[in-house]
Amino acid sequence: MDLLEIKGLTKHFGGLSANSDVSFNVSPGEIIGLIGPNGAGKTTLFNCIMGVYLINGGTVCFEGKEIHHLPTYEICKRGIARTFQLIQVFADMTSLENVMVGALLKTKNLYQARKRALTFLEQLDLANKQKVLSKNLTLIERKKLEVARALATEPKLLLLDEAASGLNPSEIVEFIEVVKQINRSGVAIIMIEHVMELVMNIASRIVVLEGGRKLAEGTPQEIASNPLVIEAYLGGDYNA
Amino acid sequence: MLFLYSILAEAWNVIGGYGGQLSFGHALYFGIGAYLSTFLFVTFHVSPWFGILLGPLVSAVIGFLAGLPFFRLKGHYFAIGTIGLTEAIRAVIKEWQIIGGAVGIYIPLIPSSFVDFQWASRIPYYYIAFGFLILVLFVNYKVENSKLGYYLRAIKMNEGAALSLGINPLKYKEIAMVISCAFSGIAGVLYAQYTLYVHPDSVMALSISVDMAIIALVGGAGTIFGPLIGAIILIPLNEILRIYIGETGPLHIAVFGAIVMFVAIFQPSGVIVYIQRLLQWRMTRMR
Repeated sequence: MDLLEIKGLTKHFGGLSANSDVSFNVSPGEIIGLIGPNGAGKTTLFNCIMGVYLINGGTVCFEGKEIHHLPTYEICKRGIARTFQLIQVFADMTSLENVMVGALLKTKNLYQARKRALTFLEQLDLANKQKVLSKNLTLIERKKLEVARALATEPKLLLLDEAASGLNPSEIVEFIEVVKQINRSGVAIIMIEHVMELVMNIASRIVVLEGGRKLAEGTPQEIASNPLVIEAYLGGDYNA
Repeated sequence: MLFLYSILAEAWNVIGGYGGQLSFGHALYFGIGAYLSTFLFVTFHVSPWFGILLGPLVSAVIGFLAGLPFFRLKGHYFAIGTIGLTEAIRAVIKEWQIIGGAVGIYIPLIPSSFVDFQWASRIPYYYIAFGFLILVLFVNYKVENSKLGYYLRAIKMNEGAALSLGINPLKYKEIAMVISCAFSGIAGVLYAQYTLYVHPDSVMALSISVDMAIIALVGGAGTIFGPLIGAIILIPLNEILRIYIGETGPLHIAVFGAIVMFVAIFQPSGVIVYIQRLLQWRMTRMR
């Protein structure tokens, strides 16, 4: 059975159609790359999956059950966590406290939550920053912190919204390892990413959105050679 | 009075400080406690000790119901909503003859009696208020060091992120509201038994709601001892100002307001920050 099943998802804001008739599936333990030009509806799709927006049509099923009518916190409890394109850390909390808020979903005990949170900080290489207020972290550190915090809710599916943008090449290499490591622990991932090197490297399948519609879907190799995708990225007049 | 305001500020702190939901209508829950125990005592001669159990219970229920619509409002709108509800109910009580209307209710003066919660001396009131102050401080400590405290702070700082981490904001705000309103209700019963008189303008005044919030904010909202420190500073200050310059008119309120403004500008996190720094400095010197 598929972990996540999106069928005919449609979302419009007034006359603007942000997502129309988008369908794809995610299997357990898979890494999906979600790419597309700016304004293609990638982040909107994440918000629809997480229940931030009510969708206008179609269905979203997680582990075989419809979730598109549920509130965000309920969807998180079912096992989907996310990071934000624009950082949304709890600014006046320390790194450790940020991750503890995530970990408290699975335990009531603060001591347990603190212990769990530390392991996730270590996984993201932030353990030495645990007592720093998150507003005093660098951008990269805050991005990592969001990943650690999302992981602390122990999701089955993790949505990463441009988690690697702004990283330098050596940090990208490091980040690829982290994502692979998370994935090996059994977490499926959908990642919105503009860093092609990253997506091509680790995604098992890629979904391309353009103008709110699904343009193509396939393995990284198929996508790289798909004329429709090249056209969308480089413009219609481009002749190779 | 100092203990009473400390209890009120600490009660407000649970929802206003940790939860960041700036209620300016908490006099309602104070007033409900005061009115309920007084009405039961005067009309049916029910011991105020029973009132001090029932008052907070009813305050908590009303607080819960008020929270259902109001917690959907954000920021200023929430504050305005809470003011509006309290003012509306105050107006209703003023016209409600059974519970005294615009005259209020006097509690008859009787010989000192434990059962009737009345003493000629003021000392027993101090001890009882002090006892409840310890209790509300303990509750604040428990809130801060619990899942509830972490979740409330998360909701205060970023509700959207809190939602995506599986937190139902309404649920945790309501839990905090119920705790907060219950202690406001207890303070209301204590006040009624101490002054032996309740009136809509004395126990449900907007000024009480505002005082609760300002004491907590000046001392340090969202900390265990902040509201207590706020009360220790502001209540005597208010008395001193009233004694020395009060006779000439409302000038003492202006001076009081100026002091509150200075704190808000120079240390928005509250006076407690200076005390924490002082303690840290002492600690490092001792080593």
